Amino acid sequence: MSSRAEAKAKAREQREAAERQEAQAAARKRRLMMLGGVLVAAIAVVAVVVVISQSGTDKPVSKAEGTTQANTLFAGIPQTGNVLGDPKAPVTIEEYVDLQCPFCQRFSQEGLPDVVNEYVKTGQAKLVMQTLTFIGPDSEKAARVAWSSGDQKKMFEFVENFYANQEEENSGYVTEAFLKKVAGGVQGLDVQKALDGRDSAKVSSSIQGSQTAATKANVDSTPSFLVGPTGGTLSKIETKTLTIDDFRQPVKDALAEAKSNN
Amino acid sequence: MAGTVTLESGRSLRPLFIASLILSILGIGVAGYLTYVHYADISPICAGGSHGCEKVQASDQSKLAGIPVALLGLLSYITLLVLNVLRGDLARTGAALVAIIGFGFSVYLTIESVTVINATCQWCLSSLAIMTLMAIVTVARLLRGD
Repeated sequence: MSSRAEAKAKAREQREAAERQEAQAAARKRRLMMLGGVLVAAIAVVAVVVVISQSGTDKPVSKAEGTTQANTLFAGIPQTGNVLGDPKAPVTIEEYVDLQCPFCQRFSQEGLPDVVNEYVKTGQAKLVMQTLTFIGPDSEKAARVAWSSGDQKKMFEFVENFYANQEEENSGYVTEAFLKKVAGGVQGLDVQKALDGRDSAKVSSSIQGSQTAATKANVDSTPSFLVGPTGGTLSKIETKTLTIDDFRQPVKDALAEAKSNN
Repeated sequence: MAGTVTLESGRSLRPLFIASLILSILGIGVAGYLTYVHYADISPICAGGSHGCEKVQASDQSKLAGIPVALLGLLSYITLLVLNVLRGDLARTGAALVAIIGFGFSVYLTIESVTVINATCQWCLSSLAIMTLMAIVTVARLLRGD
C-alpha cells in the first residue's frame, strides 16, 4: 500500500518536473521571439531617425561650399584691413572672434551672410573684425595670417574659409600645410605674401590692438559684438540666436542715433 | 505572466536589476547636464580644456527635427528608469527596445562627430558607454526573465 503511494507521488513529481521544463522552454522561446521583434523594431526606428537627421537639418557647409561662400559673399564690398564696407557707413558693427571658436564658425554660416547682405552691402553699416587668441596657440597662428591677408584686402575671405575648414580646437591642426590650404582657397590672395607677412610688427600690433580693444569693451568671450553709431559709443549686444535677429534692434537704434547726431 | 506590468517590489535585489537602475540614473545625469547646457546657452565643461563638446553642441547634428538630441537622450533615460522599475515581460521588452534604439542612435552620432564635425565630446562618449551597457543589461534581463 505504502509502496504504491510512493510510486504515485514519484510519478506526480516527474510529471510536474516535465511540465515545469516545458513551461520554461516555452518562456525562453517566447522571450527569444520578443528579442527578435525588438531588434527588428529598433533597426527600423534607428534607420528612420538617421534619415530624419540627415535630411531634416541643414548639412554642414562642406569645404568646397565654404570656399565658394568666402569668395562670393564679400564680392564688390570695399575692404581695408579689418574693416568691411563703406568706412563712412552710419553704423559700426564690431565683432570679436577667435578663429578656433566653433560658435564663431556657426555665426559665419548662420548669421554673417544676412548681416553682410542686409546692412553692409546696403551701406548702412560697416563690419570691423577684431581677433582674439585666448583659445590656444593655433588661434594666434590663424589670426596672424588673417591680418596679413588684410594687407591684400582679403582678411574676411581668409577668415570665412578658415571657418569652413575649422577642426577641433587646440588639436594642432593649424599647420603650415593647413594655412596654405586655407589661404589657397581664397581667390586673388597671394598665399606666399600672406604667409611671409604674418610675423611683421604691423600684424603683431594689430593682434595686440584687438586684445586691448576687447579689454576696454569688457569682451571676454567669442563671438561678441558691439554695435553703435560710427564715431560714437559702441555697446555690446546680447546674442541669443547668432543670426541677424540679434542685430535688428541694435542696428535700428544705432541708425536712429546716427541720424539724430547729424 | 506576459503582457502584465506591475511595480518591481518585494523581490530580492538582483545584480542586473540594480545595474539597470544605476545606468538609468547615470544617463539622466549626463543627458540632464547636456540639456541644461543647451538651454542655458553655455559651454559644457570638458576635461583637459578640450572644446570638442562646444563644437558638437554647435553642430547641426545636435538637433533632430529641431529637438535637441540631449533632451531626447534625457527623455530616453527617464523612460528607461520607469521601465526598469516595472516588472513583467512587457516592461522588459520596452526597456530593451528603448536601449537598443538609444545605442544605435548614439553609435550613429559618434560616427558623425568623428567624420563630419571633426570633434568628439566627452559627455556624448560617456552617454554612448552608458547606453551600450544599458542595451546589454536590458537584453540580458529580457532573456532571463529577470
